[in-house]
Amino acid sequence: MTDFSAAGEHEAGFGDYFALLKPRVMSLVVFTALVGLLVAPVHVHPVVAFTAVLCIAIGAGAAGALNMWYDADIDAVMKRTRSRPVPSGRIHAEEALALGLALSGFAVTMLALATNFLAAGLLAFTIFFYAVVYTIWLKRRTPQNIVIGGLSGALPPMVGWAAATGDISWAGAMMVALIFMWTPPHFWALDLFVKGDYAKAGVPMLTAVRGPRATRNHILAYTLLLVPVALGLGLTQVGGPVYMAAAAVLNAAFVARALRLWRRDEAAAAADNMKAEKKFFMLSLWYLFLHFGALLLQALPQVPGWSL
Amino acid sequence: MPLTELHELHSRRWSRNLGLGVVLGGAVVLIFALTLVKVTLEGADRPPAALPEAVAPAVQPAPGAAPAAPALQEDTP
Repeated sequence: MTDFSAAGEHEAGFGDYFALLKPRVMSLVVFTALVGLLVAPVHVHPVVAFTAVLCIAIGAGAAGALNMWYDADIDAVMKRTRSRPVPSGRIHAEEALALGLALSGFAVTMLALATNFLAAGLLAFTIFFYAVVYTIWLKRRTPQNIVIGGLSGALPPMVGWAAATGDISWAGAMMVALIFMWTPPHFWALDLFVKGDYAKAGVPMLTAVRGPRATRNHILAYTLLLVPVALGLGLTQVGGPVYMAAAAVLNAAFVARALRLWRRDEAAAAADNMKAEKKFFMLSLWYLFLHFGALLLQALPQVPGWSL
Repeated sequence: MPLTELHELHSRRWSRNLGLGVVLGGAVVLIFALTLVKVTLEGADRPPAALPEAVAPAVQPAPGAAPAAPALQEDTP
């Protein structure tokens, strides 16, 4: 750290190391894992619950750091990611690797000690899937990269559930399925409005490989497939009339906007600077947040369940 | 090296050291709290090992249960 070769560069502050963990992704993981833990029908001591969610978040952050290590080359090329700590020269790629590996080990071990081996195993699998299966293997090889890789982002509620109950369940699996089916429309909308940023870096995203019309078709298809999954979650033990009502409204809105995206052509999209695509992306964030919020609401004892 | 450059370096190192100090301190507090919870069985995943007193009462009610059962049967019409 005291080598004078770094004297001319911006030496990294604490915030830069934190940025390696992809904080915005971490916040989604924290929320979905917390919901997965809270809606489980087992009481968990607050300190144990806090530790579990923290470990899951750190695990996700570690996976993010590993991704930033491996993708340093393409992050440097893409406009969206150019200012990240590694491509901007603030942190060396090897430091990201070291931090990712160390935090992964710490998070998985602490989760095993705080809860159980199933949750820790699932967290380890999540990190492995994101870092190795998605980042190293699939991302640069197939336009289905984010579909399959999306499993990593989908697993946290199941990890939270396992941390609480020591078991897996249909409810947990359906929460995973919800995020899994949601991920493609979410990322392909982004793909549409970043306008070839991925193509420049040689990443075979759907728009680069098959063109925007194919991407619009795929977004609509996955949005329609998402509807039975979202409603199916409502029929599990964590579902109920309140959740169903929220899901019905949110899915109707999501499908309506996906249809709008599907009917547009590139000329119309360019004319308003991808406004509908950006709005669809924003809606996708609300969609996920409100579905999990509805599950939390449904889990309150005062809220009526299916046994009416 | 000019004094101004040195000062910038110090502030970045200070932020790193402070951040790491807070993280480590937080980890110590958290692990201590977790230990307390686990040791006092508030957050236990499995019940404590059976003590001798717990085993004995299970044997006693059995002879007492037999005379109680026919008494109940006589009550029902």
